[in-house]
Amino acid sequence: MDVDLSVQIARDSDRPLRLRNPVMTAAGTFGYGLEYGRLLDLTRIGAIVTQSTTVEPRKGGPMPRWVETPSGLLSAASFQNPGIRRVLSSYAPRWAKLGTPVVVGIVGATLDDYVELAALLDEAEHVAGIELNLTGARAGEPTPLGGEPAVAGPITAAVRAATGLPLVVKLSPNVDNLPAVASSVEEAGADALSLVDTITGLVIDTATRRPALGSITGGVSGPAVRPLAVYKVWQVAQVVAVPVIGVGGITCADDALQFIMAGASAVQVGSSSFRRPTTVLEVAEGLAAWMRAHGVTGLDEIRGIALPLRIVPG
Amino acid sequence: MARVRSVIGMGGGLHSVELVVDPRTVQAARPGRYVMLTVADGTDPFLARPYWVRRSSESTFHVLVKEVGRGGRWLARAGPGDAMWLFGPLGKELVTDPATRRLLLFGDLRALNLLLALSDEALRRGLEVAIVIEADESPVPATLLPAALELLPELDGEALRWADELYCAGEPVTVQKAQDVVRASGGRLPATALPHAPMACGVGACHGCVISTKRGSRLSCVDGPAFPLRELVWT
Repeated sequence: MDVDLSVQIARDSDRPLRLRNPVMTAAGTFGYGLEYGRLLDLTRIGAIVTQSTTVEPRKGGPMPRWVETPSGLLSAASFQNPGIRRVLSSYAPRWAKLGTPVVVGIVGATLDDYVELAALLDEAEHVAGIELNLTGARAGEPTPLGGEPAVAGPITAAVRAATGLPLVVKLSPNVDNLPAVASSVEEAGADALSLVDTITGLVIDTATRRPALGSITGGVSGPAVRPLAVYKVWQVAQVVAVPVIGVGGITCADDALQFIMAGASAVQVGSSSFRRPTTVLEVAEGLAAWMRAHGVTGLDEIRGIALPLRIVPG
Repeated sequence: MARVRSVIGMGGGLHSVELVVDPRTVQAARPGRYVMLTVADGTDPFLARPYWVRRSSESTFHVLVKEVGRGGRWLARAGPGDAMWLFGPLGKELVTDPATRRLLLFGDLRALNLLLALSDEALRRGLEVAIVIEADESPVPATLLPAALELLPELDGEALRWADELYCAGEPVTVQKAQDVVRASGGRLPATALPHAPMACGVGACHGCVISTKRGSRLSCVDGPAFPLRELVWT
């Protein structure tokens, strides 16, 4: 039985993003695509989302940068990256040979940073889309940039104005009202939303009696966070019309199905790639196998099937 | 995928785990390369761990596991037939200078398998090889050491004067000690270091294995894992 796993992001855009399957890699876990390119056949995945990239090179946070946690890890690499110009000169020319769309993650300290990044990518070759990372903290503030609609919306709007590329906005779960933030960035022009990023956490090394990470706190990821991530997708899918991309602890096709049934149009495999680089391929193949086994020919048949029923007045 | 053939306790919490793998993987497991291993069943422990490999036959190699931490304890308690996910070998093969006739090795238990793999290759090529092992808790079992490998008590000026080349590996404190000794002796001996760095991915994606050098930060997995000893700085 033929099954159709394809997904379209930014359907109404002049530059729609069509994925052969709904399985993408998550920013911060797959480098710039080339790191795993010699280990995996990247033509079998939906898209690569790169490391979130800044205008200027960034050294990253102090060591240690990660510590294992139950069914996951706490990490704080703090967006180490070589800067957008180096990425475009060194990596982008090789993306054309990967055989899969590359969505570039961007993160900035100021609004101007975001606009500059978007404008540079808009002119670049071999870039299929942008993932706007609103999960970083503002200096001196406990909540992420994407923590309030009044901040997330204008940043999204400014980036939207700077580029015609498909625009995915990545949201943090460490906020008070994620559905409100999601609605604000949809209204500001996001083509899709990806959620969730890592959850703020702390591990104390009881031998040293100090935080285990050099930066003290970090983000928790891995299977332990999956129930929260599925819940957030389920929440947001009820209030937005744009595609939602589910992220958080996906290790197998069944995990991905949870997100899709909660309303996600696509999913991203993150820290599981550290553990087993083949996970992203296995999830895509597992979805196809599941669909054949259950007589499902297209993902629309099951997308959001676990959402509450909506009564539409007739 | 790898399967455990045997786990032999070496004393002091050290275990030699012999793994059966694809012969092509064994063939590629040259000295200086490592594999990432993780439990095949379940997600806890979650992350893969890097292990230096030492070939034992066409289809097997050994990893040395210290029974520390959740992953180390799981591996140390594995039994014959247990499956593990494996990828690699990763890293770069170490090649001694063609002019080297006397090779000196220095490291701690974490790096012992690497040093023994280097020793195996050097002895096969007819070099004289000596080793100094930093082992705080208990002596290294003699059964692990080839008969032709000379075990020295200390890394000192005499050992450095004997050698044509030095490889040192292990925890940063171990490698830093080697750097201090080499500097104190004039710093002329060619020396290569493989300092331990915590790797979550092994391929340059997690940015967790940063090594500080005079030329800036480097990732152990893709820029190393070997670095000129004199280039390392300690923060």
